[in-house]
Amino acid sequence: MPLDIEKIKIDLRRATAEAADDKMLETVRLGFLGKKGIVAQMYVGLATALPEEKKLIGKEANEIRQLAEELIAERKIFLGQQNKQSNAIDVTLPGIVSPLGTRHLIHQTMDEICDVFERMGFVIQRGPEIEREFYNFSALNIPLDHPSRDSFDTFYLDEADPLTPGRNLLLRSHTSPGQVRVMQKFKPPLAVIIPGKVYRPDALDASHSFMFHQIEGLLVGKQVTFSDLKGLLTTFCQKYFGEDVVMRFRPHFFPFTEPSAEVDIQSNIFKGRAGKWLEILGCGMVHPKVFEAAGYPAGEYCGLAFGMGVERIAMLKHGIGDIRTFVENDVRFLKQY
Amino acid sequence: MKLSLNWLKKYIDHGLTPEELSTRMTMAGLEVEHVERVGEDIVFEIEVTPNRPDCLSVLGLAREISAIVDRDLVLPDVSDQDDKGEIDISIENPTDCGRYIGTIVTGVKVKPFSAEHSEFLQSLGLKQLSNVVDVTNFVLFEYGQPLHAFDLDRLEGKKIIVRRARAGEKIVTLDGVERKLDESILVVADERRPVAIAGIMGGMDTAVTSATKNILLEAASFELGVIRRASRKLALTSDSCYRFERGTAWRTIETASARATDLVLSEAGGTLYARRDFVAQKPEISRREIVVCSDDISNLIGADLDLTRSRRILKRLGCMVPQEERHLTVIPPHFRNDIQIKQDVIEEIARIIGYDNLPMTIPQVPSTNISVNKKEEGVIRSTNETLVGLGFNEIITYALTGRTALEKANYTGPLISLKNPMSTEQEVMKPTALVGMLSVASGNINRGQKDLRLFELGKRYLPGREMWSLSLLMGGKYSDDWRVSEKRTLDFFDLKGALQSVLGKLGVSGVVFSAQQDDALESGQSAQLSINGQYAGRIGRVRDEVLARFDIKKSRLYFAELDLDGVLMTAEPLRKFLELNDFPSMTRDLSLAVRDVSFDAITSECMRLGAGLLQKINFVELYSGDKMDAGFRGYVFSLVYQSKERTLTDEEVNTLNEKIAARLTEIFHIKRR
Repeated sequence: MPLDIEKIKIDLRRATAEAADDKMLETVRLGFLGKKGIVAQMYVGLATALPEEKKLIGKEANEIRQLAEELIAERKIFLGQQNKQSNAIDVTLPGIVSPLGTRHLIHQTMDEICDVFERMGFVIQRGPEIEREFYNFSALNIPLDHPSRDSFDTFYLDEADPLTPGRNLLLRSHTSPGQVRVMQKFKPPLAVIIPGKVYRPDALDASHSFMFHQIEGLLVGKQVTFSDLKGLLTTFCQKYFGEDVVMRFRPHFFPFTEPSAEVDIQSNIFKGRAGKWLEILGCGMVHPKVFEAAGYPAGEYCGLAFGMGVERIAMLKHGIGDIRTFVENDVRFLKQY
Repeated sequence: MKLSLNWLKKYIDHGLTPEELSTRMTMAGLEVEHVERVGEDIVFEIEVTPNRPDCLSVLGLAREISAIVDRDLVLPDVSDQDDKGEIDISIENPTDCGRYIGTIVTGVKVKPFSAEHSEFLQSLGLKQLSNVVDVTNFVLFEYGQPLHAFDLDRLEGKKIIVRRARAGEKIVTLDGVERKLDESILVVADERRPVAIAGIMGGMDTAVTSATKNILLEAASFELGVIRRASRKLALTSDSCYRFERGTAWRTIETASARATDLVLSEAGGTLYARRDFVAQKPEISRREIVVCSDDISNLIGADLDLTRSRRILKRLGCMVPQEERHLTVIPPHFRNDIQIKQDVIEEIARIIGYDNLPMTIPQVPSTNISVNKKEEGVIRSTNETLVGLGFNEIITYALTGRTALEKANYTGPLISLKNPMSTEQEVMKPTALVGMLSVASGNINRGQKDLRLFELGKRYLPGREMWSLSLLMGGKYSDDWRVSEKRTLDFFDLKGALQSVLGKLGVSGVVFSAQQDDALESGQSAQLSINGQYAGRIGRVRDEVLARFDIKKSRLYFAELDLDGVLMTAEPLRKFLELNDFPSMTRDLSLAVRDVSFDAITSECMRLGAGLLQKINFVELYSGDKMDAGFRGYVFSLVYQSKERTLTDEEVNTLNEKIAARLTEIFHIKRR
């Protein structure tokens, strides 16, 4: 029976066009190209055909086979593309963020400052917050009748100082006691920075707190001079506040340094304060009385010391107007840094 | 200290513009904080450091400027005065008042002060009262020595007695306020009553008025501590008090007294009737020569300073410096107690030259022989890093807290109290960070920030101890993952996991969590941490009653506190490499129904039984549905077997797993599921 070759072609076209997925398309493929498929049957028919028909049937079978292969391949590509489209995601949806935490801005500031000095060869040391009068005052050449020893200016504890009868322990009012503790423990040369909390009975307002943070620095050796002090702190200010920082060393007074100075700076990073001198740290050459208290032989060593308030620097640098922001710990504030 | 530039001109022709003068003074250590134009005058507000009471006067500042500009100082002419006549002065305690010069001028005419002098006082914003009172103010600012004028006829018994006030005594001071006195307060009294709070303010009763005919001028030296404490106690200060607190110069007392007498006589007329210089106790001032050589200067400053110029500066500042070749021999002036040693002298020279004019060198920072506390710093750094990575926000809370706040958190342990707290809210050192953290959480939650992961790495304080402590507080949603429809809230195991991450990163092993009652934490949901049997901290869900007292509703918060002292002892930040095992591992699940036995107990028994081949136990699931018998919980473990020498066979793993399961059911009386 002669095959209606045109009908087969129409069936083939319809079947491939109607194949909605890979599975249906496979059924179509088997129907035409499989072992028992139409093309295979045509070849079976070839064996029994008349010699004059053989050529024609062979040609038609080939035609169908080629067409089927083409159409199926085309359909496969089409289905593949369609498939891909239904799996598509909206790539603009938000990613799943595991929020990173934050360090407190005060500690970040302390780390940044300490890092600058550490890179210059300074070593971090820490001292106790609960301190003895000796370290907080006497050893720093602050006389017994000095106003800063009053209970108006220093917090005293109910606990007696076990080493000094009649005297109570106190909360350090600055990080400077660390100087003497370090010197008692180690022999020069030494270069240390001492970060930490300090306490003073100041009523809370926008610029005062009874607890704040300081960083103390101390460099002691055989030949340390005031020009070294200037060089060191200039390097620090340039590294920390930027190369274009403008500085001045203004004479000041601290009982534990002689000569003493305060450093004022002007920097573009302090918005709205252009052209204004901002006091940034106190410094000086270690007073001989301090070396004496540390047990160093007279005239043997010289040293430089400096100290700075961390809150003040952070407030200036980040434009924060109220010191209480730091202990409020509003997470919206914490997450900004 | 306020400085009128017109007044200043009387003593020095500095030749500078106000701007130049302001900068030069600032850079010599007299910081001009504020400049104000007052009429024809310009007034500087100057910050005088506590070591320089001599600069709390126009003359003192003029002397500084004379050194800065290297020009001569013109001092006022003051007549010499000797004692004459009789004045009854007595001083109860010589340490309170070392010297009292009384001067009686009779027949004065009280009227307004002369124009020239009064202009200066006006510039400083002082009220014009009368020639006599204004003279005392004028000399106070000119010399820095406070003075007081009494109406002699109102001093009972015409007597001056410097003594401590008696309990119950009162005085109405010049500002019209009645003040209660006590024995800590030094007063100047007549025969009957206090007539002035010594060094701070005179009394109304004995003040000079327009009716006054005869006056007693007081110039005295009062002990600075007594004056300071009285001022603080009475919350009363004055220009006098400000100077006495910082210390006045012994020899200026007589000059100022004479100057005031001269001015009273010329302004108000009258006759110098009597004067008495009563010295109760001379101060011990050892005035010694300070020798400074060139080496001293270069060793301290790092540069050579010209000796001739240095000598001139020191002389301008009032020092005696004889002409010598190689060094400076300096005798500081009587009003400069702050110049004691070489360094003080060199500072004087350096600051007048200007620190900014000195050279600058980059120091060789020595390699120090300080052993860094690597462990302490390492633990701090690592802990911060881990927690920041885990999404925790670091907070800083006050180290001071109140007993009431601690009671709210059920704290009943020992405390360190302050002797002089500012308020009851800051009266003790915090023994735990819990209270501060709850306040912070409360503030945030009530501002709508309910998802919290907070940590604080700081100190906590117990009597005799100040210790590093890590505190964590968390609550709210586990994550903001929009793919998850049911949002899980944070719980005990999230916090425990965070703590384990911190400890793991530090290389701390052997931390044991054991169920424990805690006053602040819910019972049955709190644990104690221990390392090598030592207490190391606590963890748990904060009790609802505690949260309520901190105004936290609806939220569940979990708190952990880890004492770092113990951690520091065992931390092993340096880790040895462990050989990687390439032999395949095999996993077997084990499902148990357990009762009255902890996960820790089961797993440690497993590890013991599987010694050698059992590498790890993972916890897969906790099942507590209705298919469980009452009192039982379903634990599903996954046991990982692996050998370091060979590939294990199914058979031996199965056998071992069976053995372990059988032993467990036997030991703990639990069932397999």
